Amino acid sequence: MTDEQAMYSVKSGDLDKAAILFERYKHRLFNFFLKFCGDEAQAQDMTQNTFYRMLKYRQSYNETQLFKAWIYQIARNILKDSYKENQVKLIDIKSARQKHDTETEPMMRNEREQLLHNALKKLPDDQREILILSRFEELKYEEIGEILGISVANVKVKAHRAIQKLREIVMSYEL
Amino acid sequence: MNCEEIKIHLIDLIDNTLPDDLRKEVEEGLAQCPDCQQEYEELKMIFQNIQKQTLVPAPKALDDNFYAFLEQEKVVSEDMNKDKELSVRNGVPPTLTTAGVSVKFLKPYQVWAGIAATVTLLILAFFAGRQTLVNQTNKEIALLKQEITETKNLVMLNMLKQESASERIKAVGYAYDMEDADKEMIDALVNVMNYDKSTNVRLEAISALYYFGDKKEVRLAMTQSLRLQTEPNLQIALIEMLVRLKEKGAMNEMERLMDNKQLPEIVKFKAAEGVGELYKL
Repeated sequence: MTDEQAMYSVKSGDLDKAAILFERYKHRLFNFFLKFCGDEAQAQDMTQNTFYRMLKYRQSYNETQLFKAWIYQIARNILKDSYKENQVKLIDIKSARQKHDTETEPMMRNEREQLLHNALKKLPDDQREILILSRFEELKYEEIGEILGISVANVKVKAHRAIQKLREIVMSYEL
Repeated sequence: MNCEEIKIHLIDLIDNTLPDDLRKEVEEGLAQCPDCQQEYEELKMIFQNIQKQTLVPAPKALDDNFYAFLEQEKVVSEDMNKDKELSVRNGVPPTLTTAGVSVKFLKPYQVWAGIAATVTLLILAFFAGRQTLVNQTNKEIALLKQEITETKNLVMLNMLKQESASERIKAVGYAYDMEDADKEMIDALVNVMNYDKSTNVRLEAISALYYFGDKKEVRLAMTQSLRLQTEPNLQIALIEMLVRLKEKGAMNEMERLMDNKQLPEIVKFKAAEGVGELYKL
């Protein structure tokens, strides 16, 4: 069963099919949020909200739409909402995290990973997002284009720029 | 091929997405330029590091919460089918069937706590009044009742200005405790329905306004709102509510939605269904 078929069943009232989608996407969405906020509890909340919205707004899913693009769009909106609504809270968490970062973060398995994570945080939001989607979540440029509502060519240009920027940051650490 | 041209293609070279002839050209150029080679190696290292990233498994609590929510949603979805037949105004706000949203209203315990003192006063005044003049007591009770209402309204209006969406949703929910809403209250709710930045809060406002659907100005505001809303679930909620309120004046707006090619199928379908229902009346 494809994602789209499963979501169409959910929309038609067979809610149990939502479990298929949840199992397919829970880890990747959790990691998607984790890359942004660096906080497991927050990432869990946001992942949960994404699936809640998937169920609540099931009627707004359009069968011709790529499910992956749709669910990531929901995820992006949740990310945006949390930035808008909890600006203060986010800053608090950020500063708390900075303190935390200097110690050892349990999710960081090794130094390289830590370094990459720090470099990622230095990127502007839009570049970080496109990089996470294309390289970490391994979405195709076509899929990202659909999520962001921009052309594939544009996605590619932006993704390449983001990679180059990441390279510069990483290299400045290495020296 | 000069360095600049080579560097443009480095990422595609690593991704292995270059056509054969171009790839050969880039590789040849690369072999002759140490600077390009360095950049190539750096990029390759970054890609390798990204690939080595460990996927953090989603916590177990996520499963528990999701499956609990799914069960709840299944019950709600069954209930909603039954709910459809219920009368328009039986004191309980309707659930929004099409949007698939179960609207739960928070208990306004905070307001109750806030006005508990006033209620106590009311009781005291009642007993005190009985010992003196009945007429005077009645007056006092009326005054205190008014005070309670005003306090509640004030709390609600203030809460609507809160930064957090959940606080605003709570505020909108207080509408259900009101026996009647004055113009200021209705205006505030209409304003939230049309302009609140959060769609969830807007949806709550629509449900709350439905509760006062016996007022002509409320039905008119909901009809006008059909033009303003762009979110499909809000459009659908409005259509459903207006049909339940038997607001024939909304037919024109619904027809407009029906013919709007840019809208999702479900909204057009609901609008058509709405027009059909209203036409039957």
